[in-house]
Amino acid sequence: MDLLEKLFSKHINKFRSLETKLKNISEVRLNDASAKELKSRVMHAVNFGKPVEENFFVALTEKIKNLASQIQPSAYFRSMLKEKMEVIVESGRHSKWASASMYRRTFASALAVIFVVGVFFNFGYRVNRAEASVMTIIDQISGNVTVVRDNKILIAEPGLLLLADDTIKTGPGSRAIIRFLDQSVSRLDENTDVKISKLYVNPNNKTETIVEIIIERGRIWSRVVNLINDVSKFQVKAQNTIAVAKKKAAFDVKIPAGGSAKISAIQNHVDLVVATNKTVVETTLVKGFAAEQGTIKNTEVLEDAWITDNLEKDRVYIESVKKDVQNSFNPVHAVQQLTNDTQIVLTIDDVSKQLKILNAAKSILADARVYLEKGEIQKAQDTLNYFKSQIESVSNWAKENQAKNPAGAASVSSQLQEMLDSYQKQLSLLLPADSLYLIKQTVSEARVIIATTPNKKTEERLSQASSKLLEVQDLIEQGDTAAATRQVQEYNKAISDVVTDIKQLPIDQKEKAVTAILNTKAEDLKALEAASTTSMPTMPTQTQVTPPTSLELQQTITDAKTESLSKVGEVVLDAQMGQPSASILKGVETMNNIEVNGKSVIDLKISNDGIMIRTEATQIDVIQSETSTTTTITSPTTNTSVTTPLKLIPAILTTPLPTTN
Amino acid sequence: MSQELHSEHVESLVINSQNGDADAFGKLYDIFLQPIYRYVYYRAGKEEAEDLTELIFLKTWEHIRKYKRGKYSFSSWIFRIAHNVVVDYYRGNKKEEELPEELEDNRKDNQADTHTRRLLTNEILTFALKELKDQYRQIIILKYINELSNEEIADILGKSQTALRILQFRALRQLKNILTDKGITDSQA
Repeated sequence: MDLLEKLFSKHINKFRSLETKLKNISEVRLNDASAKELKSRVMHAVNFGKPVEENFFVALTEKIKNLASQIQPSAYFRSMLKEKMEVIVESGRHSKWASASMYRRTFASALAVIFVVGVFFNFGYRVNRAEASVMTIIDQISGNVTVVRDNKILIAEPGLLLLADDTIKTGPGSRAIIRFLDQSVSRLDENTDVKISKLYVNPNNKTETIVEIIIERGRIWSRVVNLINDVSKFQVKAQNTIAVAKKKAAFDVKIPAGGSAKISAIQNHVDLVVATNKTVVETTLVKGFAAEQGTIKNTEVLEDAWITDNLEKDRVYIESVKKDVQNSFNPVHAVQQLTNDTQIVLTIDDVSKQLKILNAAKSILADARVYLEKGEIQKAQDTLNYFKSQIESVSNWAKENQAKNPAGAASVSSQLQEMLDSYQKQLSLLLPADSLYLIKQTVSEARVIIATTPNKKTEERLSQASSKLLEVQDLIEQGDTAAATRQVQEYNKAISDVVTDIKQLPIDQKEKAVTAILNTKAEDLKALEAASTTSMPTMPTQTQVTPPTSLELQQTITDAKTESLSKVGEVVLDAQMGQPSASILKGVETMNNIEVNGKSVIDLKISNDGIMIRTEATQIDVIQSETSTTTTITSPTTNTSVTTPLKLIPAILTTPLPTTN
Repeated sequence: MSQELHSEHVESLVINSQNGDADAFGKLYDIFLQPIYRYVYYRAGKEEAEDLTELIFLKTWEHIRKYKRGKYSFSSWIFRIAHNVVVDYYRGNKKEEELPEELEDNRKDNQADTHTRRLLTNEILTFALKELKDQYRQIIILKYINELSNEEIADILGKSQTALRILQFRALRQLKNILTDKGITDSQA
């Protein structure tokens, strides 16, 4: 070894551990969708001999577009820039690529103008909490709060990034708030230790998230605001019990010193798994019920100051998230629109063109927001219809090019899906009275439009129906029972429409659709039970009268349960054609396994020509003969029954009717 | 660095690409995408990484007939293109003056007086890399993240291996000083 080598080895040893860390630094990867899209662009240039400068020209215009979306120049600069761009568009139609350098200089000067304007007018870019923030952080603290990481103790500060395997500890008189990557929040009471066991975000679709935490002692309140897909969940483990929220929920978990864990469902519902020495019990807790030491009971939660205080803080938090959503739909100026249209025209590569159309569609939603806020509903509706048509056009391109350009089609489909998923998540908190609710409905409709198979369409429509039940619970919490009643009726109609369409499907597609409806119905039943419990009128005192709207809501929910179950019964019978398939039987088993508050809520049996569905309040028998299908609903409590050929009359069980058979 | 980047398979794909075989170039893209992306990511940042990666591959295609096996491996050659593209990008986006190489960094060790003791997490290391002088950052990235050999790095940077070793030592020293300022002590690093 020469002298230099020896000297180097002697000194470099000082940095051995640093070198090891560098080698083990998290590997950065371009995700598969972006890699495919990039390859598509590169290979297009390779195959069609497009000059390098022209690609860079397009990339540069993309930069300008992105920048323009963040600032708002004055009228003078807008018109100057518009003039320059019009010249470029016009000359770009006729010139060869050799002029690209001229275009770059002109764009560069335009860019410089924008920068100057930005400096002078100080257009800030507001960090938007409603957008994809995939971090989990300490949001607020009071008192002594620490984070244990890799056996080292960190003093917690607001903004501290939290990682999987971190344990957050609050001391006496101390509290902390954690904001999770899925927009859920947890509030830790004093003397609480909580470990984060899992934090997951799908890198290709940031709306797919999993959060798992373990409370080791103390008390934690959790508010889950807007999980939207089947894979997402928020889970809290306490001793031998796991509480899981899948869409929206507020729940409290407490482990007193030396005591047993108590889980209380405060709003919506949470699924519980309790492991004992002998067995594992799965059930669902709805609002107003708590589980402790294997027993479930109704609990007077509202008298607890911790609960009322957190409910109020949740209300404030949800309002701020909704406000961020509204602000995220920023209208764009003429410059931006011109840039969007210019780029779409100038883009030769098909995949890039579709992605630019998608990007421009975001501006359309922003325009709709403006119209809605001004009360110009018809203009808003027209704008939203245009949005849907653009989405449909991109979706159709992807479907048509699946064989010809699989990588490009996959990339476009993936980005389209992620865009709509992200909007759905952001908008999920909106209720019918909110000004942007029409946008929420439009996004749901767009998701149905882009579904590539009849089964996927069915799943999307069922998902839309289920989301109405979540709105019902929010409306009940707000005290708007009239609106809640309307949403239950909307849910009912949606299920009825889906069932009608499923019956028209070819036989090979019916089975999948029926399995989807059985799986969705299982979750819907839990939501209906939760809504039913929430809406249950309290026992009137001598001076208090139960409001008629609460009674009407309660009845509507009961009718919705009955009618939707009978529709499900009909469609199952229609699909099985005499012999239930394995997937349908599995769906039936899922339904039968539903327990709410420790009790089974449904008993479903199918035979070759009939299906029997029994709940606490009703028994539904659907019988199929060669010529017709009849549905009989019996109420064991009132000892009445009604038989109809297929269609059920709503609210039929409010008054006893003579038996017609 | 992965054996794949130096294999005969790569060289035969290069030859086919030079003969106009677009599929062969597509396979080269698949092999080199992630290493090139990683290099650009750490040198120019996440936002520019995709665009610059695209440009690098387009330039590679444009100039592929100029590559001659012998003096440099193909991986050295494509990383050389990547280096030049990033340098061009910096020229167009110059934000701050780089300190001259000879200037000593006299910050002391263990100056952390924050009450929060920090660990050398990947996040902190990534942030620290961004604060390095560009030339030092480049060496760290090529050596430890892209895992190129000293010979390849010397080819890419146009320096002798001796000069490279000195730069490597200085890079690690500056990185360590930056980490110390962030509260990472010797025992934690």
